[in-house]
Formats: sequence, C-alpha cells, structure tokens
Amino acid sequence: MKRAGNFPKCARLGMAVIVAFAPMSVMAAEKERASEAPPPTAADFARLQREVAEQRALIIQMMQVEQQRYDMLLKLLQSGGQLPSTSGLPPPLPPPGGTAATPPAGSASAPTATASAKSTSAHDVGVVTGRVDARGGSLKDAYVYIDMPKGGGAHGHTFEIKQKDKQFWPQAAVVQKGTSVVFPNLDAVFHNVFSTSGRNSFDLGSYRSGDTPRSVVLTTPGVVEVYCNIHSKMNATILVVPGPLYAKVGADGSYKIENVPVGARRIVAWSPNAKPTQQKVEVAGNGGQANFTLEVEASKAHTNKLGQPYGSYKE
Amino acid sequence: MTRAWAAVPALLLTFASAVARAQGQPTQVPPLAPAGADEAVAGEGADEEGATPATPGDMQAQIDDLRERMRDLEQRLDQTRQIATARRPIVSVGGYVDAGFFATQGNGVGIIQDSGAAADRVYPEYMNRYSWVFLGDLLSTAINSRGEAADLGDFAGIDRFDSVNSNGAPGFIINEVNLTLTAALSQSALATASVNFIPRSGHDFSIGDFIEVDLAQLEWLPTPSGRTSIFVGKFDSVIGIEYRERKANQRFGITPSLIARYTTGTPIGLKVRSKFFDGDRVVVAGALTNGSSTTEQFHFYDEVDSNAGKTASGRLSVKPLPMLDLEIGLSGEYGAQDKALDSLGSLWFWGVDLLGHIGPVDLKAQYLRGHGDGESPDRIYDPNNRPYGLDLKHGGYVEVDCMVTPIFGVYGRGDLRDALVWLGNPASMNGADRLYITKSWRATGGVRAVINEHIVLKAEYLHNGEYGRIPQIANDVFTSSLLLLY
Repeated sequence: MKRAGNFPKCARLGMAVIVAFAPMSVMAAEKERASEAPPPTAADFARLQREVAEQRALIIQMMQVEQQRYDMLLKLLQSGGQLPSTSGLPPPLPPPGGTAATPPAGSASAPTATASAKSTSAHDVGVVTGRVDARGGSLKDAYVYIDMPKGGGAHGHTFEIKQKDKQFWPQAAVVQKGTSVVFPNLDAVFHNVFSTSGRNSFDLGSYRSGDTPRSVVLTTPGVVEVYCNIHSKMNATILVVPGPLYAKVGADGSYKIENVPVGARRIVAWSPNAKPTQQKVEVAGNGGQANFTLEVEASKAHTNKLGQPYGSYKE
Repeated sequence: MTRAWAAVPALLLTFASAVARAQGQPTQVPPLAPAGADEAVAGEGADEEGATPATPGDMQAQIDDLRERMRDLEQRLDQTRQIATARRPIVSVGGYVDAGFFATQGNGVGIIQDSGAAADRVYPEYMNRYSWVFLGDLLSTAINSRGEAADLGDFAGIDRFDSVNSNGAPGFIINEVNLTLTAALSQSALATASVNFIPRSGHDFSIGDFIEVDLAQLEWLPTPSGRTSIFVGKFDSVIGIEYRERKANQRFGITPSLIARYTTGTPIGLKVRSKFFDGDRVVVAGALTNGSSTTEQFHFYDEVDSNAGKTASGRLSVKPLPMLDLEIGLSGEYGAQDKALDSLGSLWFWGVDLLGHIGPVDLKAQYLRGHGDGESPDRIYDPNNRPYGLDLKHGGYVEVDCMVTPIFGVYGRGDLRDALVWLGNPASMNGADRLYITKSWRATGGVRAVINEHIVLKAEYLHNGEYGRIPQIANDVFTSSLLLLY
C-alpha cells in the first residue's frame, strides 16, 4: 500500500484506463481478425476431425506406454532385480492375484493349476501332466511347479499357518512369491517363529494367543524352513514358487498343470522330505509330460535362531 | 493503430499471468506428455516448460540404474547378513530371578518329635531302637521350587543346614537367582551351565549366601537327525518326569512334589538318550552316575562319589496312541548307597509315570518306590560318611495344569508319601540314631499369571495332611513367586 501510495498519480490513472479498455480492445482485435479470415470449408472440417482422431490415438498410445513403463518398474522392484535384459518393452504382466492356482488363505492344496494370462490364447498354452513317485520312503506332500523367472508375484495375497498344540498347521505349503504368510498363535504359550532360509530369513519374535498375529512376505522363490525358537519340534516347510503354475500331487502320484505357455520349460518336483528334482519339458499345444522319482531324505536336526542346537527338554 | 492498441492489453495480461505463476498462484497448465512416450508422439504434446518425454532409451537407462541399485542393495544385504552371522554369540545367557513371599502355619517345621514315656508316644515300638523318632515330612513345608522347607526345626543332637530358618514367621525371600549359560561348541555340541545364587541369612558375622552349580553338561548329538544325545557332566536325571520342570522357570506351579527329592537331583556321570519313530513315540534313556538321582539337600546324594560303586539308571517311554499326546514311562535306578565308603549296600528306585496334553490341560502323574539298605549292623562308619536307610513304600502325585486364558492358569496337585528314613542300625548294640516316619498327603492349589514372556506371577497353597497314627501337624504353607526371566 505504501508503494501504491508513492506510485505517480498519472501512472495510476493510465493503468486504470488500460484495464478498463482492455476487454474492449480484445473484442476489437477479434472482430478485426474475423473480418479478415475466410469462412471454414468442408475440407477444413475434415482436416480438423482427422487431427482430433490422431491426437486421440496418440493420447491412448501414450497412456499404454506409460502403463507399460510403470509395470516394468514395478516388476523390477518386485522381482529382486532378476529381470531378463530386454531391449524393448516387457510383455504385459498377468494381473496379480488373478490366478486360481494360488491357494486361498488357510488352504495348502492346489490340485490343479490354471494360469489366467488373459492375453494368452488357447493355442499358446498346453497342459503338463505326469507322475511323482517316491524312493526310499513315502512323501509327506509333493508339488510340481513350472520354474519361470517371469512372474508378477502374488502381492496382496495372504496365507495362514496356525500354531496350535505346539505345532504348525499345515506343516507344508506352497505359496507364490510375494505372498504374505501369517502365523497366528492359538496356543496359550509363547512361540517364536523364525527362519534362516537365505533371503527369506525372518524372525517374528515371541507372541502368544490373543496377540496380533505376525506375518512375513516371502519374496524369493525357494524352500523356507520355518521353526519355533522355543519348541524344537515345531517345524513347517514353505515352498515359494515364482508363478501361479503349480499343482499338488494327488494321492495316486499324478499331477496336472494347465495353461503352461508352450516352449521349453523347466519343471520341478518337490516334497518337504525329499530332494527336489527338475527336468526340462518341451510344452506343445497338445501338452507335455514329465515323470519324477523323488529320493526321500531322513529328517535332519535343526538349530535355533542363534545357530545353536536346542537344549534338552526345554519345552 | 487500432492493432497496436489491441496488442498492449494482451501483453499486459500475459505479463500478469507470468507474475502470478511466479508467485505460485494456481494456473492452468497444459497436461504433461506421458513419460516414456516416443519422440514422435511427444513432440506435439510437449508443454511450454520444455519437459522432455522419456524415450525407450531413457526407460532402459532408468531400469539399468534401478537394477544396479538393486544389485548394490543385495550385496550390502548379503554382507550385513554375513556380519550378523559371524557375530552370533558363542555363549548365550539366560536365567531368572525368583522372588517370593511365604507364610506357614505353626513354626514352619514339617515334623514333630515322638518322645516321652512309652504311653505318650505314637510309636512306642521304636522307643528303644532309635534315639530320636520324628513324625511327618521334613520337606513338607516347601516354600519354593528349590524345595526348601520354611524351617527344619531346632532338635537336639541334630545339626542341619537350615537355609530358610524362618521360625514360622512370614517373609519375603529371594528364592534363587539363576544364570544359565549355553554355548554351541559346534552344530552338534552344546555346553550348558546353570548356576544358582541363593541369598540367605548368615550367622556369627558370616554371610549365608551360597552358590550352587546344578547343571554343567556337554550334550553331543552324534547323528544328523539329532535324535540321540550323549551327555557328559552334571545333568538332569532320567527318573520319572518331574526333573523336566524342576526349575522355577520350567515349573507350572511353585513347589515340588513330595517325591521330587528322589528324582530331581542332578548327578554327575554319563547319559545317553535316543528317540525313535515319528513323534518320538519311543524314547530310551540310560545313565551311569556317581550317585543317585536324589537332591543334594536331602539325606541321600553324592556329588563326588565316596565309593567305587556307580548308579545305573534308565527310562523307557512310549506314546501308545498316535492321535493322543500321552506318554507313559517306566524308570528305575540301582547303585551303591550314597555317602557310603563301600559298595556293599544298595539304593534303588523304580516307578512309572504318565504325561498327557489335552488342549490347554496338562496331566502329570508319577508313582515311585525305593529302598536304601542303610548301615550294616556289623560295621563301624566314619561319622561323615554314614548312609541313610530308606523304605519308600509308596510315593506319588497327580497334577493337572490348565491355562484358562493365555495369561491366567490354574493348577492342582495331590501328593502321597509313605516312607521310613533312618540313620544307624536298630539291630546294633547301641541302637540307631534317628527315624523319620512319614505318612503324608498333600493337596496343592495355585494360580499363575503370565504377564509377558519375561514376567510370571504364581501363588499357591499347600495343605499338608498326615494319616495313619501320625497326628495332624500344623504345616500348611502359602507361598508366592515373582519370576523375572531374562
């Protein structure tokens, strides 16, 4: 206000006149332009329509490219830097959670795998079948999965392993990478769930029934041995698979995995009490077959979370 | 001229707009071209501020950069993990502080003397054969998990270490400060030492506090399955099941049973235990030790053996029903008498036990019998090495524990002990020194509150009863325990 007060009176008057006349001058300029331009022709309208259509197509294309870019970044972050070195854009990812193969929360079974991949046509996929037999004993639970490095992960999915009667239930499970595994404690005593399995290592600390169940997101494919640091007899084994293409082996030893993309695929058979076995299978449109024989292994002692043997009768 | 006048306001408006933008006022900005669009697409859509749209090359560069950062982070994570693994402590320290408050009936002593003229005696038949005859159970007024009696009495001619010596007064007590050290010597070898610090009253200007080493063992698991353990050193006994919870931090309640004195000692020697079948349905354990599995504060026990005869003990347990967590065990031991300078006399125990878990309820039961020869009539004994005689006719307990909620639990136990313990030989010319006649039963009820994994509160009441010819003794106990675990 002080500055305005010092502003010369003539200048203030000039500004007021300019502002007052500005709309009038703009209108006058438009009227002058209109009087000079020729009226639009049909060809002009057609050109404008074509340009609008092109702009619309470009906008849609840009949005698609942007989406692909974000998907790629997301995938890179989720896959732990395991992306193949692609020069172009990656193919569209299967929608997370859009698979029937991922077991529902609280269930360990997935009798038949069905990949969703909406963009994949029926001609691009096949069915892999076969048998899994045991040598040297009987298998506790057996699963077969397609080991494909590309996978979106099951982010947002949860799987529950209960702690009850000083044991984990279920004691064997398969989850897709990115799954959050929740360990509710239903016992009155404290449990301390932990794992020292490589990149899936975790330690949930001690809690008991009534406490908020603690969970861990398993991000790296592989076998995760889960124990309680207090009760040495508590153990569970989780197989983290890279994608939704897996199936539980039936009681008769057979299995079936549907919607496997055609081509050479690595297929793995696994059981908590056996050494995993893998082989390459050429999956064609009419399917593929792979039979396995798993060697049953004797259980081995495990240590506590400090790497020490458990003491005697501490539970 | 007209055009020039029209241009002036337009310039002013543009200037005003620029000023407003510079001052941060909201203005309408053309939409940005999507990052990642190709140049041909972005060329027309670029805004006036010159935001350059990302190209596939840019995207690849960003991805490579992210991948590089990811790789770097993973390397650092692996290094951190290796450092953490390397810094794992060789020795881990645990233990607890057990503090309590107790109050007893009478003078806190669990026995009375059977004395006087024959007509006044409960057991006149022992009058001329034993110098002193006591009725009741010396350890019935236990106030803590150590089994310490509130008072051992001040009977003439008997010099005992009366660790609590409360004289019947209620009081606070630090029952035990425990320090447990475990060291993984390898993936299959674990060394454990458990040391108790017990603050007690001294006398004649001496400090009464004492230290007790109750475990000092090496456990070696020679097989990959870890189902066989070989113990060397001072370890838990193999008799019955109560030794598994003899410590305050393991015990559901507070006080031990009336037969714990026979089974929860920690002898020195060699022990082997193997588990078989799924779920450890069969467990076999055997030990060769200096002395018996009795506790040190009782009449029997040899820390360092005084004779060449060793004690062999064993236990076989089975879980007969796969769907039910029920364990049945048979155990026993046989060896030279504790405190004897020779191996002529024997001391033995045998018993059966049962351990079951049904939901939140634990069921524990044990029955035990035992015998010790005591002194021979034709021998003269060193005053410091006199073996006590024992006739444990029946001893046992049944206990039910239940955690009603994760915090609150209740328990009850019924005990029985029918035994004779004596010193000296009644057949000798001078007769024997002492005889303790016990026909006791006990009903214990208590509560426990697990505040968190480091704080546990317990309180219990023990009603001690006598049966047969033994008169009722005022020896009930209320005791409590605050456990601070670390």
